[in-house]
Amino acid sequence: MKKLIVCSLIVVSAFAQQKPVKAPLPVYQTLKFPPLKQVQLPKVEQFTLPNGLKVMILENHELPLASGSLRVRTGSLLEPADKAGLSGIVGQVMRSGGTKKRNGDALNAKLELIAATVEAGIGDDSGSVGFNCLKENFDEVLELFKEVIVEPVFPQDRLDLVLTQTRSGISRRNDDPGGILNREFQNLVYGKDTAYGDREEYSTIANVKREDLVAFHDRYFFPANAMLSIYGDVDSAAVKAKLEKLFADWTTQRPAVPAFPAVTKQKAAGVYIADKSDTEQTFFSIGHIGGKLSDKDYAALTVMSNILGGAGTFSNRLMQSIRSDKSLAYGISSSWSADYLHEGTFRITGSTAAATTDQAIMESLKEVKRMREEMVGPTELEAAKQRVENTFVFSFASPVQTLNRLMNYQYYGYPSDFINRYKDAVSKVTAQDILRVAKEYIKPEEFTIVAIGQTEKFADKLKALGEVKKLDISIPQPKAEAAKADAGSLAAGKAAIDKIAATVGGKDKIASVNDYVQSISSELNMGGNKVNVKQTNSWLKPMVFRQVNELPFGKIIAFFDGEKGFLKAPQGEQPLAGPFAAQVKGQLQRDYFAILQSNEVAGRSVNLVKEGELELKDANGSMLKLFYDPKTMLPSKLAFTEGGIGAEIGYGDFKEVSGLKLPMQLNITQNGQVSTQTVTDWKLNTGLTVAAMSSKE
Amino acid sequence: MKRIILALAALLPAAMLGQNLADIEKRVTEFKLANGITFVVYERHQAPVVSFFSHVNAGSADDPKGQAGLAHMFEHMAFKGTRTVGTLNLPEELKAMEAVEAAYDALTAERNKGSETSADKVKSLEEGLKKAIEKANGFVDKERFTKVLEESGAVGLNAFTSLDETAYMMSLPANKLELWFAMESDRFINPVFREFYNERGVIREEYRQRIESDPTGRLVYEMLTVAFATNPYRTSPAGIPSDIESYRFADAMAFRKQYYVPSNLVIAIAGDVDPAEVKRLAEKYFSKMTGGPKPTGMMTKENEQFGEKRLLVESPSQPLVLIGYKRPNSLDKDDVLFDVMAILLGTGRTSLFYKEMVQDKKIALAAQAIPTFPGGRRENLFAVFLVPNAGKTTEDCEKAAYEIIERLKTEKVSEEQMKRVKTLLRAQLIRSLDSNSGMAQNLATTKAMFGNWRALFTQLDDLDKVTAEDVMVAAKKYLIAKNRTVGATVQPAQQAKK
Repeated sequence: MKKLIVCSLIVVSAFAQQKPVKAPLPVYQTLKFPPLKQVQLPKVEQFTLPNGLKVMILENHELPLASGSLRVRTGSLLEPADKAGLSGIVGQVMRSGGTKKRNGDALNAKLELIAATVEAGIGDDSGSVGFNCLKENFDEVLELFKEVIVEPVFPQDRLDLVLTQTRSGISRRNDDPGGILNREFQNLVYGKDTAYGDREEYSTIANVKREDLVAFHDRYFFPANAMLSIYGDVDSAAVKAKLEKLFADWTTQRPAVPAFPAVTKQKAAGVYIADKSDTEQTFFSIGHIGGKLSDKDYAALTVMSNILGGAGTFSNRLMQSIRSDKSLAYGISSSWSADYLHEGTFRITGSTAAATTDQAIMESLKEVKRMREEMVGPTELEAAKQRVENTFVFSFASPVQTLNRLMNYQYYGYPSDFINRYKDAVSKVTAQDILRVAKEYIKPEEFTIVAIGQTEKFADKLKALGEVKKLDISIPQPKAEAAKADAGSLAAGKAAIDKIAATVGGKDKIASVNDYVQSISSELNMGGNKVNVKQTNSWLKPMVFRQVNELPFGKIIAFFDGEKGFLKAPQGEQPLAGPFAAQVKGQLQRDYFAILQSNEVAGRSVNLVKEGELELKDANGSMLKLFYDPKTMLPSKLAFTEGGIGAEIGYGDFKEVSGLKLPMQLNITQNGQVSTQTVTDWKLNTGLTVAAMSSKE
Repeated sequence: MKRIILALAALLPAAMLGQNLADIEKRVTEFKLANGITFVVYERHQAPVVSFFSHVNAGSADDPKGQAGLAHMFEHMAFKGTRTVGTLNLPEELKAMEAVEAAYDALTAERNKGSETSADKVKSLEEGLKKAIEKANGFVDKERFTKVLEESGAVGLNAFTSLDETAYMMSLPANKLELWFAMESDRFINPVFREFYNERGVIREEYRQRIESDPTGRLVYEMLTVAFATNPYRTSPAGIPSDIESYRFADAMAFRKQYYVPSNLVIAIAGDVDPAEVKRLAEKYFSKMTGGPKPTGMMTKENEQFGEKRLLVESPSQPLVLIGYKRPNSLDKDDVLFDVMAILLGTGRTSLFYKEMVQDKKIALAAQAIPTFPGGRRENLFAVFLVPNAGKTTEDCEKAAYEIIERLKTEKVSEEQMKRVKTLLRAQLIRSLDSNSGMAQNLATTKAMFGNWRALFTQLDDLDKVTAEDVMVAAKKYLIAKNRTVGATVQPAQQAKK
């Protein structure tokens, strides 16, 4: 019986591999298509204004709309390293801040009343200002457009808003694993401390001042450094006359703008991981520096990458192998993304369940190896070429595409028929070409592999690929501005602490506090509802800490031994490490007794800013402000920043406990919210032990 | 049913739109096949390209009970091919697919034996099912349907499922018009739901990605279930995991039989086409499509809401808050007022939310209003979406938004603001004419929803009549706490700070 079954299985599987048997031809295979109409390339009017501004105009009378774009040779590639982020901010405030003739609000109102837009932005290797309006408002909007280009005022309040938003953006940049992946990959292959790296930080933003914006705009926005295109339901001759008049007074002259820096190849081969605990999937990239659009092998490289893992199609090798066959990834793709002026990257990107990270990466590497060792089949090659050939018409579906392309090619110094040359080159690509470029340009030994996700689930298995380096993706915190300090103010600061300590109960008594147990009753705002929480804090010298929060739905226990600990909640337990540990450490350094002993903390300086205000600065740069009442010499408030956000703890209702004055009311101000914590009990030197404090009950 | 076209010349301040509607009418041809399929054709000879949009009047709101997410399955199944496209051997494949169903039936039967279920038998039946699926998959010519179209020059090949509809779209070079007819009619008339259970797994993965790994996705999903007590809009197109993991091939066939019928199909074609040729090809390829009567769908309406509803979703990433006010469907006479309020509140730098909350008080990073959410056929929500700025909370954002909304009820907005809104809606319509794919979508969905594609333009008549007083009345009537559902993300409890 068994033999029969085996035989029939063989028969069936052989049958399965055969070509369609007596099946009717699918209809699509019987169709004959007429030739595609040739697209008539529209005629673009080109000229240069007396002031050096190059202009292109393309008419299109189909719809009563008009638009235009100014392209300026500038970019983040030219901004100073210590002000990384400046160029993007210039682009935003240029528009939001309004002009000499009308402020931001007035400009917004005027444009929105007529459903028109004027927008500005600066990217890595170009800046642009664009407008879009109904034909009937063309004259008016053109003038507003010119104002934004020539005389933006960059008011302080709009700059402040953008700076706040930029800082918010920095604080959020680790929220999204895809974002982390992109930033880390870019920084590794291009070099974080180069113009091509992402080096915007709180500290660089802090260096951006209004005069920097004015200077940046002044340096780069001049007519000889710009190109202007106008499109839509307009008359070329009339527009030309209008522009000559309108821009006649834009006569700024500046030295030629420096060339963009070159890309310097980095030594970045290896495996790099970073932890992101709240994602089910690992986001990974594999690749290295690539090439430019002008490379002689660009066409072959794009066809190769298309076959390997071209985005937007299921019929590529990576999708077939990794998604369809092995179900390892929901999405995977590869690209040879070249740029006009600088090298792009070769990059495979995908996401997979944490447990299959190593498999997905290995399979991707296998496909790369296959591409470098075996010639692609004729069907695959033909299919890839057909895709490029047959979709070519969509690059000309609208006349505005021709205009934009012309401007790009002129801006970047490319021949005006570059796209046609590319199409021709693709049609000539052979399987040998693909094998050659795969071997020549794709270097697996130089691959930078980056994986972001729950590293404890995949880090070990990745060791098979080589040394696994852990990336530090923590966001460097901003340094607060320190007040002026000299020998006198520092001595006065020290003396003030001594006096405060004496008032509280005496330096020695404070030093003899070995542990405490503090019970707090507080009201928390949870999602619009006020919730009563009973909190018990236990501390043991020097840095052992335990906190128990009793909430309506259960107990939450936190324990920290100075280096690490745990967090236990009804839902489960997790280690207290990384940023949370840092948070707890910070809290302990701000503890009441620790503050009072500031003169004994190694590396801490106490500066008297003015009467009632002390600045405590540690060797690592972290800073606190301690306010005290000069009349009573009791501490009144502690102010500090955490995560770029300011917070304050107010001390009130002092009571004597074991000979020391302790604040029985703490007013916490954070996120614009004030919450009051009432200390119901505070006992000192109760004989705590680490064992008791680390209990999970 | 939207009103008849009024004398346009009398209506509009700028002649341009009137002129445009007259031009547009010349370019539109509409016809209906004997079997009930409606075609709307828009001629645009600028470039030799064409866009297609096939609208099926069935969406996730029509998912049968216990099969949430089924309409979404169709979206995926539509790319699996037909009896002639995508198979290496149809007779064997169909046999193998039947064997899969038999194996699955046997497995289900054993599982349903309750205390009599044999764990060993279940294991062996599971193995059997797995093998049967592998065998059937062996007859698949992978991705053939998509490959044929992409290699012929298709771009934007895509589909989506919303609560109200399922739509299939693409653009092709104009000389490939007949290819579209051959392929599209084939997948409506002769589809084969191959790789069904594999794709069911992909749908489950998609749920993981969109809902389980995305805080905004999760918030929206939960919001719908809380805001809508009885309305079928309460279940997102993403479905319910346990339903997804259990629906069968027969369920999909039943859904198709009920909803994928000619009278439920509106197809729009926009671009470089000759309407006569389109009609000829439509007759040639789509006439053979048969099917039952136009389905009525669930009649369940939303029960009255008697007080504000609130929900929280724990998430460690940036806070978000979503506020939804109950509102009538798109056919209601008040429909246009919601579009007006949405723009007044949240579109543009001079909108009330942006100016006060984002720019002046810096309470929010983003503040938007969506007039119709998640669909327009049934009673739905006027939704407000807020992202607090660093250092601000979702409560801060809510408070600020309510203050602005209260003002809308007591202070008439300026004439300038009314003019801004009307001009914007008008301009948006004109700008939408610049896109074949946009036009195809607009024409098909407008025809399906209102019965008349012209409603796309005549809606502006209703807009013109709206006064500042009308806005106040609408705000007072609809934007009230009793009508409201509020959803916000909160930090997980473990991370509650001292």
